Amino acid sequence: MILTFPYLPNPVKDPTTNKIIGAIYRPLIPIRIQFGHRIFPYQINSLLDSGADNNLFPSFFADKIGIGLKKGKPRKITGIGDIEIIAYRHPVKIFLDSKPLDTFIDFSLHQTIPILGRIDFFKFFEGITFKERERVVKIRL
Amino acid sequence: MKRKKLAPSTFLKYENKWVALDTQKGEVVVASDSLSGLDRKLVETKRRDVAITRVLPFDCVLAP
Repeated sequence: MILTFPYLPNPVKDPTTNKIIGAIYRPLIPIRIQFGHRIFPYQINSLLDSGADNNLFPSFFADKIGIGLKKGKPRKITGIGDIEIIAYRHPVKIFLDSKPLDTFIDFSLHQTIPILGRIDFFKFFEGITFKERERVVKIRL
Repeated sequence: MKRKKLAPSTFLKYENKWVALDTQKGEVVVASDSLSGLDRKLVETKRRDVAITRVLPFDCVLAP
């Protein structure tokens, strides 16, 4: 079975003229998250990031499903420049379509967008293919 | 699971905001500057069939 998700566009403007000059399309896919018996009531469009090791989400989502943020194992996260942030790792269930995945999410007060990484998300699938020209991502279950 | 292809114009009014997208129509249902604000608005609307999405600033590129 293959799930196909169109990329989501984000408008782009020229910073000098402030005019909209196009859009950047990104591979964001809808997932749900659950901790224990508490499931977040809405889908979360999350970025598929093949350059990320792990899943990294804003701490807001942890609060909403009853996770005590700082009860998790702290981890240093780095990736751009010389910036490090602290995240707390928690076991969660992620649902893609109806497929449940027992995995982990690192939650951070300093993270602004939900990211799905290789070790905690990509590994569950036969393949994840980014079709840049078609602006879709295909996930083979 | 299907999702409509959305036009960039869908997000033009929502730079640097959190939005809730209707999962069938692909329309923005509510928007807020913060996740907690979006959550409050969604509770008021009683909508569950939405996908929460961050609209990034239009003058930035992403390198997570």
